[in-house]
Amino acid sequence: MTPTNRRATSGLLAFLAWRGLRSSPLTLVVLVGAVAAGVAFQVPNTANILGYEAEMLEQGVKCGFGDVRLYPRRSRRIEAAKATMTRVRATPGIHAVDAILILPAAIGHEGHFQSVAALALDSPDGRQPFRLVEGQLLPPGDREGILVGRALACRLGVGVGDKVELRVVFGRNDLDEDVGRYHLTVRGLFAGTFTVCATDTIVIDRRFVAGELGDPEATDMLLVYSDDPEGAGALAARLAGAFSSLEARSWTEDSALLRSAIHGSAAVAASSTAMVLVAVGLPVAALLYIQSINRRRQVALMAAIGIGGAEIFIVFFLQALFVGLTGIALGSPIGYGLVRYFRAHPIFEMEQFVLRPVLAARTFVWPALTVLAATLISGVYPAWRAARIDPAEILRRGT
Amino acid sequence: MNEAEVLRAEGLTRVLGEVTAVAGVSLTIAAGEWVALVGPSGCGKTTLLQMLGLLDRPTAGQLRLAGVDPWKGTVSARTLLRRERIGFVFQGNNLIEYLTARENVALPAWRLLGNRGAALAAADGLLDRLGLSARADTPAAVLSMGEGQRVAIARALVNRPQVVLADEPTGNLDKASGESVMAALGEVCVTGSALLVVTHDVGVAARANRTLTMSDGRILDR
Repeated sequence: MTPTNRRATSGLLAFLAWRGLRSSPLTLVVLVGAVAAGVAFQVPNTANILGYEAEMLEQGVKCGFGDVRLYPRRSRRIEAAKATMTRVRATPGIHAVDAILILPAAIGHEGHFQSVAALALDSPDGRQPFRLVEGQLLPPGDREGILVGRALACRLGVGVGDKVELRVVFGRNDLDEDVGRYHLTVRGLFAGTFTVCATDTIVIDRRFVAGELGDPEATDMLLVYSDDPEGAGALAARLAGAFSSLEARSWTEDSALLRSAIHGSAAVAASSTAMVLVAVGLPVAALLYIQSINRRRQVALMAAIGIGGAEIFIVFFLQALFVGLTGIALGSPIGYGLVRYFRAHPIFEMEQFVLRPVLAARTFVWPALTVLAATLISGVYPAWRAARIDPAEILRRGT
Repeated sequence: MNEAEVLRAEGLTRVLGEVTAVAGVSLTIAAGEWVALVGPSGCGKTTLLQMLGLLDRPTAGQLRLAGVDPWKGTVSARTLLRRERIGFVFQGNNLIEYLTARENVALPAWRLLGNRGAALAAADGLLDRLGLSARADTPAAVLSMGEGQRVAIARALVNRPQVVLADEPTGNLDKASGESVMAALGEVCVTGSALLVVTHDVGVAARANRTLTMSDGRILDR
């Protein structure tokens, strides 16, 4: 067969497929509707799941405790923290490093105290493990300022510019009541959920606190930002090799909540995809099968006039392809509209954790491909049955 | 097989379940010949026709179509033989109902030639010859039975087959429609094709060059 003939034959098979589909308008509408509904559901679903994962990584890693966290392996605190921090920052692929000292503390306002985690932070690269939502960051070496989690500030009834009392437990071994008492001004409010929690955390300057401790380099952990969450494991391994006194933990090892939440989200995505495949595939398979049964006489006639079994298979398979492509073409704009709606009206919002659906090519490509695959797979059996029809038997029986 | 023969069957037998539908039938058909096959219902006429048309595999016996044994070839080769050398006309519901008369006629030619335009032109020519030009764009589902049979005859002829096999083409028709279908069948032999018609219609059999009578799966005389 010449290429021209092959093209013409393809045109003939496509013609037969399309005319066969068009001859049952109601069936065609139901078939396309099932596929379009699947796509229209799966596009915003995928966008929301991608948005949820992206926001979790943003909160827990990029605006949280970073891709890799470095802890002292044997000592209580990181030794020669300043020099170590400088060396870590020089490692290729690392964009920022924060030094953190964590102490138990209590914050009070007008006589009411609340126990908190005091995060003494030194962020020379300007990267903080939280989102500032009001006021300003602490200037380096600030001895009089404090940042308060927004939810905590709300409970205490304080705002930017208010005075609070802070009691920090230093816990040095040789002192029974080793507590620092400070009157500080609230410089800003921050939001955070996964690592620095806005409900029970305050932020103060590390150099100030370390000075109070009598150990200017006092650092409990280093936060390493590479902005490559997927490469965090490899980076942690490199850092562990380069710094024998430090334990390097990627965010997946260090944050069980975040890791579980992302795994859970992936499991939800997989099961919803499976449900959509079944919800689209079953009705499409059933309708195409009924079509192939109802068309047995026509199939037998096609065979009698010299259209081969493989070509009959292609005719019915093309019907599944037409249904799939048309359904995707109709369902995608509906899905796009729903994504736009959910971007304007997020389905989840808390402490700056906003589930904003991701509007990207993969938001559409993946659902379209999965639904198309479901439609095509659903078309295989009806097409196979049609191709295997015994024309002699059908023509002998008359139906 | 001499040159004039287009189809030769020797000892064709077909067993369906426990019933021997066709029992050792031998026959030859020559180019341009009109052969009528008559016999009571259930005597095996349709089964024989289907074996001759390569739709049904004989249980025993030999068939030669244009000098070759089609059952020694592949499925594709038999499909090609049907497409190139055989035309079919069945008793009723002959057409693909969601296509127009013109598209039904053009279909085998489109598949054979790989050229839609040429196929439609050939279909137009045949529909014109059979007086169906005005109904060319009518969906097959709304054609009358007589028109449908004439369109089926046009479709059977479109690839200039060596043999046309017709299974009771006038079986469900009134007298006027039957006449028009018989006139259309006459066109088959004009084109040089052989025609084998299974029929109960005495008028059809009377127009044949030869009549074969079948009973209990056997041909009684010739």
